[in-house]
Formats: sequence, C-alpha cells, structure tokens
Amino acid sequence: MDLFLTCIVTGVTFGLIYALAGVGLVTIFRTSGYVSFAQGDIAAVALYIGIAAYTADVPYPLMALIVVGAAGLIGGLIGGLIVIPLERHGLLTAALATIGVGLTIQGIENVTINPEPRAFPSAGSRAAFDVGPVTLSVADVTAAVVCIGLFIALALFFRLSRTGTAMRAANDNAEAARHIGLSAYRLKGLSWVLGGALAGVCGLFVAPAYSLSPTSVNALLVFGFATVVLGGFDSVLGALLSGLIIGISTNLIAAYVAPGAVNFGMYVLLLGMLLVRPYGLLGQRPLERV
Amino acid sequence: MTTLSVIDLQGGYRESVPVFSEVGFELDRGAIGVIGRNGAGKTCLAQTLSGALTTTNGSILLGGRAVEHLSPRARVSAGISLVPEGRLIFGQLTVRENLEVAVHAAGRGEKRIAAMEEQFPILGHKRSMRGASLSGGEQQLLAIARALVQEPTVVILDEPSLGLSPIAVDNLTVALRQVLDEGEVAMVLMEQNGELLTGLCHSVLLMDQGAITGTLDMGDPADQDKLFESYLGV
Repeated sequence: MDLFLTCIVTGVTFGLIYALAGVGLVTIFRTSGYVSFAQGDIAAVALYIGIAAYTADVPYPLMALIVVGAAGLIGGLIGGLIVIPLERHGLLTAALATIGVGLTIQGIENVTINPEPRAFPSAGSRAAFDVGPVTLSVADVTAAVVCIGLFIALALFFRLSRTGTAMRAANDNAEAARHIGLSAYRLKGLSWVLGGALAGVCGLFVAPAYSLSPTSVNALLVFGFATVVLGGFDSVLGALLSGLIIGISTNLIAAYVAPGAVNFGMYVLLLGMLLVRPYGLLGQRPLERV
Repeated sequence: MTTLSVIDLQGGYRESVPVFSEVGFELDRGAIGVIGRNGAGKTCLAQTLSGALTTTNGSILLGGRAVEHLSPRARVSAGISLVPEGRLIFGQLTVRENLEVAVHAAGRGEKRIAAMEEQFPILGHKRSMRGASLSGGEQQLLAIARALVQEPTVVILDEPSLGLSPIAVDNLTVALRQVLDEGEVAMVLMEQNGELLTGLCHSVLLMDQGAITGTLDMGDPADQDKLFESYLGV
C-alpha cells in the first residue's frame, strides 16, 4: 500500500512538471500551429546562465528569475528572428527549423563549455511535510505550487484576456487576422517568449533531478510532447490532466512492472489515445463547413 | 472634405505586374459600387484600398489624409475596414470573440458590440456559438459586423453576396441598407450581383481588365437597365 501511495504522490509532483512542459508547447502551438522542438535546448542555455550566476553567489530565488527571464528572451529571439520568418515557406519548414536550432545550440554548448553533467541546485532539499508515506521536500512543494499557479494564470490568459483571444484568432485564420488589423508576428513572438519562459521554469524543476548537460533537459520535451498528444494540442486544461495521468502511470509502471518499461508504457498510452481520440482528451475537434 | 478620394491608383499582387491602374473615384456618403467579371481586378482593388496589398502608384485619401503607405493595421485605426471575399470569419472563435478581437485590433471600445447585436439580433442569439457553426448568410453578417465594430468611416465589401442563397442576399441588402441609412459609414461595394448594387449604391463603376470603363448613375432608370444588360446578361 505504501508503495502504491508513493507512486501516486511522486506521480503527481512529476506529472505537474510534465504538464507545464506540455503547456509551453501548447502556447506556441496555439498561435503558430506547430510544436517547438527547441524547448529543452532553450531551457539548457538559460540553466547554464543560471548556474554561472549561482556559482558567483547569486541567491537561488534571483538565479531562478534570471533563468526564466533568459529563457523567455532566448525563446523570443529564436522565434522572432529564425522560426517565424521561416513560416512563409510552410509550417513544416518552421517546425523542422526548431529541431535545427536545438541541435545547433547543443553543438555550440559542446564546443564552448564543458559538456560533462553538472549538479544543479534545487529550491531546497529540506523536508517540507509528509503526505502518507512520502516526505515532500521544499523543492517538491515549490514546484507543485508554481505549476498550479501558472496553470490557472495561463488558462485565464487564453480564455479571458484580449491578447489571448487575439492569439487564438491569429492561429484560426492568419489572413483574416491580418485584414482586421492584428499583427500576427507580434502575437507569435509573444507566444515564443512565453513558451521559452515556461521551458525555463520546467528546467529549474527537472535539472536538479537529471543534472545539467547540453542534452539532459531534453527529457522535458519527450514528456511534454507526450502530454500534449494525450491532452490535446490546444488545451491548457488537457495538458494538466494528461500530465498527471502520465506522471502517475509511469510511476506505477516503474514500481509494479519494470523501470525499463516506462517509455514503452507511455507510448502505448499515446498510441491508444491517437486511435480512440485523435484530438486528445480535451482537444477541440476543428469545426468545418463542408 | 471628401470621405474617400482615390486618385490614379495602381496596384497588383507583384510590383512589376499591375492588375489595375488609373483607378479614380470620390466617395462622400452612401455606397459606391464596382462591378466587373471575375478577374477584372475587384478583389485586388479592395485589398489595395485596405492595405493588404501595396499601392504601386497613385494615392488614397481618407478625410484628406494620405493613407496609401499605411499597413492594414494602421488603416483600420485610421478608419478603413475590409469585409474580405469569402467572409474569412474566425471559425473556432465564438461569435462574440470574433467581434471582440476586431474591436481590440482597432483599439476601440466595446460599446459598439452591444449595438451591433441589437442591429443584427441573430449575432446576439448565437453569441456563444463558434463562428464555423453559423450558416453562410449568418457568417456574412458576422463578417460585416466585425468590420463595423471597428468604427470605420469607410467599409470595403468584397463580393458579400458570393455563395449566398437568394433569400440570404435579400436579407443582406436589407441589413446593409439599414447601416447606410444611419449615415455613419460610407461603403465601397465590389459586386457582381445587380440586385445588391441597385439596392444600395448611388453610382456604380464598371471595371474591366483592370480599368474603369464607365460610371452608371443608379438614380437613372436607363443606367440601371444598362447595368443589367451589359453585366448580367438579362
């Protein structure tokens, strides 16, 4: 029973982080219609900047802000200068460009800095409180609270804010958006800044567990991608729900089946979902007149 | 001051290949029509007026101010809104969100949305429905309302009757007549539907292969006959 409860609680804490990684992808997808494969690499650069600041005795909270800000800035630059301009050649070209950008970043990191894995500081390893048999650390609780707060904020932003509605409009019909005077470039650029910043936040939570190397935070992308496929590409709430499902189910598989079966189990889950509900748990099936 | 003056205008999809040239007209109030066959250059003219295509020569004066160098966004703020060909509403957004996003893009207040829902009650009833679920005629009303909430002084309508049933065209004529009678906006109406043109416009420009070949006075029954004879094969 204790093992089962442990799986559930750690599953929830990890699931929230997966979900946040998924929301970073949703944010860019909602304005642009494709997924950014450079999220992990954007986070990695920001985390290297963060670790440099931390070694120079910058306190953790300030370092965390620097990481999030840097990730947002890098995301905005990559989106605004490279990926969005490439959209004129098609969305597939733009999506592939994000892979190219990611690999380029990894290459630059490998030659300019020591690519050996380094330990990354966490928000605090002290015990915060117990949930059943599991003792949650300060870092676990911080991650959960920040994730939930960001979810609520983002869901409200997309649903209620003017900019959020405009972002959905630009994705729905780019030509119409231009005719009524929306600047698609500005809206897409903003989604890249947001998506980058979210990648930075996720990076802060996963880097202490995975340590930091040019490729280690890319695990973020795998789980984030699984999350949006399961939850629906355009749904913030879907990402939350599916992040939790993936977090809990992968923990259960690792504990009761075999740790090596985690990825297998996750892909079975994804394929099953694609067969039954191709738009995901809460994804909107696009309405069309025929 | 004339509301809209178009002087010696030239435009096209590529700078080196003009689709229309030497187009000129003045619009003070009411509606002016532009009739022409497919490929005559109507859509190109509409999009050059709205800023979606660049002006290669000539000028567009809105209330005396030159706007031909402005982006579509800046022209919407200045007071030119477009109802694009094929409606191009936001299908995945609700009716209400379609109007809100237009208001915000123009930097106007939301008070006109309520007025528009009163004028076109169907948009009020279907406020929370997604745009794609509306019928063709309702979508056209939504596209027109989306332009009008931007509080323009001139609305360019590009073939609003396209793909609509005869009854929907009648309803459209009534709705646009109502808007014109309020006197707050002037309209440039690109059309092939003679009924809509005679019902709304005081004069109609004949457009053929990118040039204005004549002007018909809709107050003159002889000119009305000429419109139907020469362009509609009646």
